[in-house]
Amino acid sequence: MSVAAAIEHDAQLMLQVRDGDTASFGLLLERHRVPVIHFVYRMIQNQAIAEELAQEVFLRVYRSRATYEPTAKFTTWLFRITTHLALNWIRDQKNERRQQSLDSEAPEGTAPLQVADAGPNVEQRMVKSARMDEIRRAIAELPDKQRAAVMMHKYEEMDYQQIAGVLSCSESAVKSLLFRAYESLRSKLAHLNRSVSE
Amino acid sequence: MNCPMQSHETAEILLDYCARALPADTLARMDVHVAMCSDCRQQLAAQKMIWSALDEFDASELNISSDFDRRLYARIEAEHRDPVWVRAWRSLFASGQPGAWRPAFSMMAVAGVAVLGLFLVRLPDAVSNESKSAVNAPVAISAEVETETPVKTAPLKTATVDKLDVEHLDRALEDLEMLQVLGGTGNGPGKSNAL
Repeated sequence: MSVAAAIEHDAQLMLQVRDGDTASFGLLLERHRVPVIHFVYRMIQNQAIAEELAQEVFLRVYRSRATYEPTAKFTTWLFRITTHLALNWIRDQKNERRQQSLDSEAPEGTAPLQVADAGPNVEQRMVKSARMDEIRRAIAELPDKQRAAVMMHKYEEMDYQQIAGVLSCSESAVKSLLFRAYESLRSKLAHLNRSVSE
Repeated sequence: MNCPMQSHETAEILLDYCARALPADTLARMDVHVAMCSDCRQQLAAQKMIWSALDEFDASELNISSDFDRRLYARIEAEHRDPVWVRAWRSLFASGQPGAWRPAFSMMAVAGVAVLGLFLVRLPDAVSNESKSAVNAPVAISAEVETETPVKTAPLKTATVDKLDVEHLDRALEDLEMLQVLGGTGNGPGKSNAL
């Protein structure tokens, strides 16, 4: 299915949901469940919460079925809801942390360093795990909007226009967000490149 | 072509070049330029490193709960059983018509501020009345009541009310701001549907 056809297909399915066809909602869920969960997971780096938020996303899609109008890409709308919920969750966590005055060493939401299983490639696995941890931390330290923009640009392969639609800002603002985010990642992860080349 | 690295604005083109997401003619010109420009080559190498590092952040290994759909449908089912007014309230905010909730929300906010203002304006009067009646009260009141003078408790009450209300207001304004940001400029289906 071409991209254009897929977009039209999503909108068509949503219109059918609006008309009371719950099976079409099942199809939409089937198509977008994984991208939504992966996106939220990369944003907040916690699988259980990612699933909870993804459920809330689809619940809101379902609640809005009666008033749905296909005036933009379905995925833009879907990811606008997703991003809104993820950013809200991040904001609430920050507020909570501020109130509790907790000062953890690792950023909140960063998965704890996992000890690799014993085996022939223990060292390799530990190196990979540490490297992964660095990357996660660098992503987690990005400002929220920059992080969302990078996730959509890199993993969802959205174009600037679509990211701008999700974040409700101009295309040039998106370019600027992405440029600054990648700059920041480059400086934080530069040592990974050096360690590989050494 | 001019070096994109010379200008902050055009440096963004390197992102697209790295992703090979440029029109063919621009891509060809960039290929020629990059072959000659060490700054651009360096920048590209760094960008490629970032992209490959981000590739390692692979979420495909994630095992999504097998009961994800079942839980979702259970929640949908539970919502169907909610009273009509709950569903109506929810649909006000999940509606595809931004105009449907904005005036209601704005009016609620304004009414809230007005009530709060009235309450705060009248509070000192109430406190002073209370202290007057305490002063005029018969001396036979127990010693405990006498020591706990209203004059002492009044500032505490006001401070607590202020703190709570300001926090609630702060929170409501933040939410409103977020809703406006997400629904304000887009032309998507209902803009802030479901938000």
